[in-house]
Amino acid sequence: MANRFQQLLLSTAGATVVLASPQILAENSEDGTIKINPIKVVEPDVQQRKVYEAGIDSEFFEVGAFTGLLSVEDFGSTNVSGFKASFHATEDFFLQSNFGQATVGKTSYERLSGDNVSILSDEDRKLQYYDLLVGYNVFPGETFITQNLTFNSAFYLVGGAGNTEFAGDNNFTLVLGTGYRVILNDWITWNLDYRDHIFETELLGEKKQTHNIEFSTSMTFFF
Amino acid sequence: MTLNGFGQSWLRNKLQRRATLLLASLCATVALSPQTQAIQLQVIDPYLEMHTGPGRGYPIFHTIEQDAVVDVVSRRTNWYFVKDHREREGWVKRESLGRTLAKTGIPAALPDTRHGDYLQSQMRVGFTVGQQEEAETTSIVYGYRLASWLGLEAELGQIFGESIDGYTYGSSLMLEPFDNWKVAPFVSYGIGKQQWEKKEKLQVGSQQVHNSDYDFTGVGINYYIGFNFLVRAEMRAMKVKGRNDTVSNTAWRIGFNSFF
Repeated sequence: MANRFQQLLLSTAGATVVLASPQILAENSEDGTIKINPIKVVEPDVQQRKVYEAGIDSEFFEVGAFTGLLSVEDFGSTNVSGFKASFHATEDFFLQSNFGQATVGKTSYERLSGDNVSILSDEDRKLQYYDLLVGYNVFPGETFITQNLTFNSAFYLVGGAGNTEFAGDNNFTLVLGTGYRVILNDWITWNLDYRDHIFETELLGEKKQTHNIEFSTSMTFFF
Repeated sequence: MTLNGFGQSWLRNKLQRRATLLLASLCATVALSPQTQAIQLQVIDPYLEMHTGPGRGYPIFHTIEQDAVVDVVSRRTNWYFVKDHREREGWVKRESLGRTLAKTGIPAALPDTRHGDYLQSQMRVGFTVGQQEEAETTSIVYGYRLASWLGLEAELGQIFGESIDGYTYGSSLMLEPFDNWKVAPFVSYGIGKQQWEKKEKLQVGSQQVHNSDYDFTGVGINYYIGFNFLVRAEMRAMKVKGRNDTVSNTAWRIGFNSFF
């Protein structure tokens, strides 16, 4: 019996819904025209996700100073020092810029000819360079100093170009090199770099390509 | 009380309430702002892996259990340095940390920088190396994306010729119609100035410097690597205006950019 009542009530309710629903969308007005009601758009109740940009300390930049040896072809080896800045784009790639300066020595010819002979003035013996490099962390890993002392490290390759200002000339310079980075703690890094600065010069008569090898060490800081 | 008077007092009351609310919210902001708490996220995966370093190859040395809460300390590229309640510290990849819940119960929303985000806005920096006819060029580039398909760039560079060298600066517009492709072609148009100087060894007497304006149309390809690294190759057909005539130059360049 209860089922009968339920059936009856449900079918009545169903019929009401079926009858009522066209009225929601369209209504027959008195003069016979059909008036269409506007559709209601229900806004979803979604909360905006909050981005924690400000709350997380991002460390993409690495800046520091370097010092080392630069061998300038025909002019012997000399001290070099400067600044470097890197931007770590991904875990593999980084962009780096270096600025360095050195004072070059004498050529063998100058040394053998005594004090009177000098190819360059003191001002022209100053060498300055900048370079723009892209780096790739080819072997990231760990360095085990002792059994209990381990640092994260990476062996990387760099390549790029820049300018070497030497003997009053600007020289387009290709730079290729490798480096080794040991991350001492959260923010201090120790680097060992090997670079070849390749540029063409006509300084000693004929035009030739020179390879100028730099070996340097640096401390850098992440921030 | 007239109707008008009633209206006025009602308005006054409402304004007073608004002002009190505003003051209260301001005080709340001031009180809260000095506290920069570490972001806490709850692990929802069966476990969260902690690596010893921020990069591929660094081994997993610890896992954090489901439902445990971690503090996010810092970020380096797409790795996050986290700390658990036992003060164990390690690096978690962004994709893994994305599978966590914030205190509010909403999935963690970490600041993403990837190709898609880059296209939406953002600035980028980078450098280019190339050739303009026989002369080599280097430049640093700063760019800003106005729309997903349109970028504005400014550059400052140096030119190294056989007997003359100089500086160059300019700006350009870059149109990238297929902005969601990993390898995306583009066209560019730009204007700028080049300042040439005869090399010291050739100088006789006075310094010889001359400026020339240029404009160019270019085509190229952008190749997006990872989340925010871009390698670009471009060819430019340049028109360099000299003192008496206009010279056509072809320039090639390869560039490396990063965006944030």
